[in-house]
Amino acid sequence: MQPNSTPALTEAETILGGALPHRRMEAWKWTDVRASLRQKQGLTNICTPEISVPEGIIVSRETIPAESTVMGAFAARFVTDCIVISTPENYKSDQPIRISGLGNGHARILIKLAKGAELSVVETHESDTASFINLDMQFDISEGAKLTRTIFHADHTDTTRIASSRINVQTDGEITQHMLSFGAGLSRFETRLTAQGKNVKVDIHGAYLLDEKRHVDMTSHIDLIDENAQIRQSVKGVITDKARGVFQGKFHVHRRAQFTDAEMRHDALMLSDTCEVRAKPELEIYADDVACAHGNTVGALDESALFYMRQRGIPASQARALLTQAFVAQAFESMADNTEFMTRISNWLEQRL
Amino acid sequence: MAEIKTIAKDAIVTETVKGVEALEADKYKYGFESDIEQEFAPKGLNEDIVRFISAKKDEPDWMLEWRLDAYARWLTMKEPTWAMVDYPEIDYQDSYYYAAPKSDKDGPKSLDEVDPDLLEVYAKLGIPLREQEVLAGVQGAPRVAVDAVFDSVSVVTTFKEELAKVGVIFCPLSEAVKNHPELVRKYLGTVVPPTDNFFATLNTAVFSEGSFVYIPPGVRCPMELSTYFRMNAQGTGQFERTLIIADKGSYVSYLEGCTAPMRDENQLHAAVVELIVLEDAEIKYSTVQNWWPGDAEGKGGVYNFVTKRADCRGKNSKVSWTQVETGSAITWKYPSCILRGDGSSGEFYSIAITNGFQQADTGTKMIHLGKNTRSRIISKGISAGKSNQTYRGLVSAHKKATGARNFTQCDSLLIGDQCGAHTVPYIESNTPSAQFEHEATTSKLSEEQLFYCRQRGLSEEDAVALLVNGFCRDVLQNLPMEFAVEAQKLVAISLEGSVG
Amino acid sequence: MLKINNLTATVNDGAQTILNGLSLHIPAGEVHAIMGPNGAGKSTLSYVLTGKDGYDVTDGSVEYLGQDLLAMQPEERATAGMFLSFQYPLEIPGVPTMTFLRTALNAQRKSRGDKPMSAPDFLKKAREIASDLKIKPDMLKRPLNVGFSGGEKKRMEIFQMMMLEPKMIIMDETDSGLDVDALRIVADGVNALRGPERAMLIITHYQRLLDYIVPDRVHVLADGKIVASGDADFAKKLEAEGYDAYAA
Repeated sequence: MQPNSTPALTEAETILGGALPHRRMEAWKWTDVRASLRQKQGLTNICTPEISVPEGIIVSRETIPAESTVMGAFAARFVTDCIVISTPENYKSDQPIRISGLGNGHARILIKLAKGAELSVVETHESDTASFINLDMQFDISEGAKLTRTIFHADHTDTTRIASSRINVQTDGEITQHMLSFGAGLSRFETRLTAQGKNVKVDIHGAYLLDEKRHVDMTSHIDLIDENAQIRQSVKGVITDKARGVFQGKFHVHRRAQFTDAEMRHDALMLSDTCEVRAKPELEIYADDVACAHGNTVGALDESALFYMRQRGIPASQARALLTQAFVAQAFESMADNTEFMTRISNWLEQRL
Repeated sequence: MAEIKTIAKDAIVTETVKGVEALEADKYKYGFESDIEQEFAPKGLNEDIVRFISAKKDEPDWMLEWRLDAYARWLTMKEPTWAMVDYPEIDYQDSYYYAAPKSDKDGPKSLDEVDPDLLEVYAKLGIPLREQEVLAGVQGAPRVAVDAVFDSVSVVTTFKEELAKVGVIFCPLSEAVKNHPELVRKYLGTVVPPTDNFFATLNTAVFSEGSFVYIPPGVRCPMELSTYFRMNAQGTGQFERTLIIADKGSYVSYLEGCTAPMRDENQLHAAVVELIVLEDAEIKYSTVQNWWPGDAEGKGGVYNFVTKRADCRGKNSKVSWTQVETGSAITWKYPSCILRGDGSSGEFYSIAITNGFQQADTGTKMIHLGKNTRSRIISKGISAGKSNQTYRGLVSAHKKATGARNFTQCDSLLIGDQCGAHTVPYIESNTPSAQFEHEATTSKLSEEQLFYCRQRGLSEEDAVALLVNGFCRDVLQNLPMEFAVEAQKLVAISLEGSVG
Repeated sequence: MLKINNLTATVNDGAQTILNGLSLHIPAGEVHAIMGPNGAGKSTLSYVLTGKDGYDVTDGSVEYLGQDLLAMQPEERATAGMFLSFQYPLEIPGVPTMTFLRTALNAQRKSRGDKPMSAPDFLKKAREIASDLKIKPDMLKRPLNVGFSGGEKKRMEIFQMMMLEPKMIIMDETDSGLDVDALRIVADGVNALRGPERAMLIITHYQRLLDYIVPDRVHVLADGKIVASGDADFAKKLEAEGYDAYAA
């Protein structure tokens, strides 16, 4: 990189007055949005998501101030009336909210769970053609409320997708999130979660399987403000061809957040000589009576396990697929029903291994 | 061998406890001022100061040019802000960049010529390096060759002749520039280039002393080499530069110790250490750093901004960094390994203890470039008082680094609820055959263990020192014996007042 | 059944020779034991015969049921009936034991041109064998060997062996980690498999296992080759006298 050469401004940069994230920003060093948007059209499009809700859920549009994140502010510039989905107190349903049609443009969605409500949200992030999507979501989880969030992501190889979620959880609130991503030309799923109250429980798991030149960035920043939070995070990556997987995780345990019990894991399997993995599992801890751990592994399939399976007569390709599937499945162990995810994963593996 | 070690470690535990008692009255043992006349360059930094330092050192033109280039580059650079440390803006014009004990003007030719006051300084320093005994040639003193650097000038290098017999060169860097220019020109600045980072570039422009070591092919250095740094003069910065070359098949163990007196103002320390390891050679580099950390209110203390890097150039070369960091108000330090040679390996063993208002951002980089390269990182961080500590590390594998392996273990311990412990690892892999494994934990000192120790009669502070030493054991075992003793004492001293 | 002639194998790109001209013939129906000091090349022999990466055969040949064994892939050897009971059985997280075994069994049947075994038949057989080996049913549901004790893992190896019904069985230090009761259970299982169509190669450091599985022939492996052979009593003599006489 020439220090003196000024790269040509992209359309996005022009619109944002140069505030687009760039690789010299610590949080964006491995995800070059700027480069991916250089050719992109339709940066000012507005997206109309398809949302189906079970009975008793209220959907409205409200003017909500822009988020503090750069990409959130970018969305707010074009989408002034945010979609607001709210539940009554103690709401329960066996039907989920389904959100899809997130294939092009900016969108803003706020989901509010009132006290004691239990809600399940199923999101599908897909695009058939090269496009730009910038989704800004917010979840407010009130006292004792429980959110179950399931995210499926598969994009066109030239799509750029940024999906930011801001999640606030009050005392006794819970969130269980599972995400399966097959990537995009460039994509980033950023979760900023703040556990405001006591006894918050967070399970936030995901897997990415990437081929060709796909890129996915799973970034999460979890702030624990008060006592007795329990966090489990596990992300599994499978990367082949020239794809790149990025994991950035952070637990920030504030001084008052005593008795925090937090574990973070990221494990990536590299299946080709040209793929890349970047990981930054981070802990920032100011409370002393806590148990926090994180682990990270990157490498190829375990050769001895492969040999063991072949010694029992399983062909190499099948053994590889079985081991890889078992590896990914660990991210979805805590899911109530993971059959759909597992079917998609085995299809993906069958076509590529 | 193992048995001897165990006995020694038990002795260490006793010594640790005694150490705490002995030092209760005098929290920072090394905080006395030596009353020695100083010769200063004028305060501030400009091209003339750079020329002044170079002239004082009687340097050749190429050296002066190198410094001036670095200075010009430094003027265009910004101080890094990414580390998790917070300190008021440094006024680089408010510091002295050169201070020399006056009586040392012509350089001591033998021990007899060393200023007796200076010898007394070393006598007072006592435990850490026993250099006073070494300097005085006391029989039975540890056979450690010492290069002692006092502010900006190297005062004495011991055992020089004995080392020369096997071809080992161990001398002040300024002397090496004169006597071995071909070696210095070939290697200086090749691991940490003059443009590397803000502090390294500053060092390149104004470094005034440091040590030079060359181990010829096939030679196993017959004794530990050691450099002892001390900042004495008020308002001075210390900018030493160390260059160690281990030629093919050679081995050297090197130890660096640092202290500074108590002062109200902050003293700046920006050092550069370059290690070059050729085929089948090995360097073991240990540091015991206890610069003045500032007083109980967080006033004063050393700003320690250090660039240390090893280049494993040859096949099967090996570097091992071991550090015990208990001092300084601010620490910014990442001893790193470039694993270029096939089969080369790098190790980083670290104990960092912060107390009071100390802030440390330290770790390592293991850059795997060659095939079948190995690295191992064991980091133990202990935060107490109102201090904050960050482990920051990078492990990366180039596409060609097939068969690379890394194992990282980072453990943090928090003592008290006013401190912070942070872990920021970066992992970058570009080849599937590299196997990287990272584990980290953060916890508090076990109440049960503490109680158990106290039930057996240990005071709370002794119990803490004992348990923390246990927590650090993996790393302490990698220190040369006599320094392990000192390191254990430092652990105890550094944690004083952290409980109760 | 198995004819090893002058087998020479190296590791680390030829830097180290582990097997050095080893010859051994095991006819169908016989049980042979290989004993020898640590580092003699016992485990290497089992890996070379089953085709693990990292070992280079620089000389010699191995004929198995009339085929060139060394030209076959590991899974082809397994399908041809060669089974290795590992010294250190692997843990495979995420793959339940039953799923693993059924995949293996059906893969072997498929390549032999047989139909897959039906789920009820498979379960019935598995339950019977598990009960013989005193393996609790819930262990079969857990991921393969994950969290099992050393002895449990060894029993699980024998369980797989009995399920797969191999022709040529290699047991690498199967007795290590087993207490006397477990040893008896394992030996009963192995002995039940003895027959005119089947051969076995038992690799062991101690003679103990051979009290339960009595071999037809005993060989001493030292410095990469067979240096002495005898009958079952020879093993007792070795145990009493040690291997010193055979060390280089």
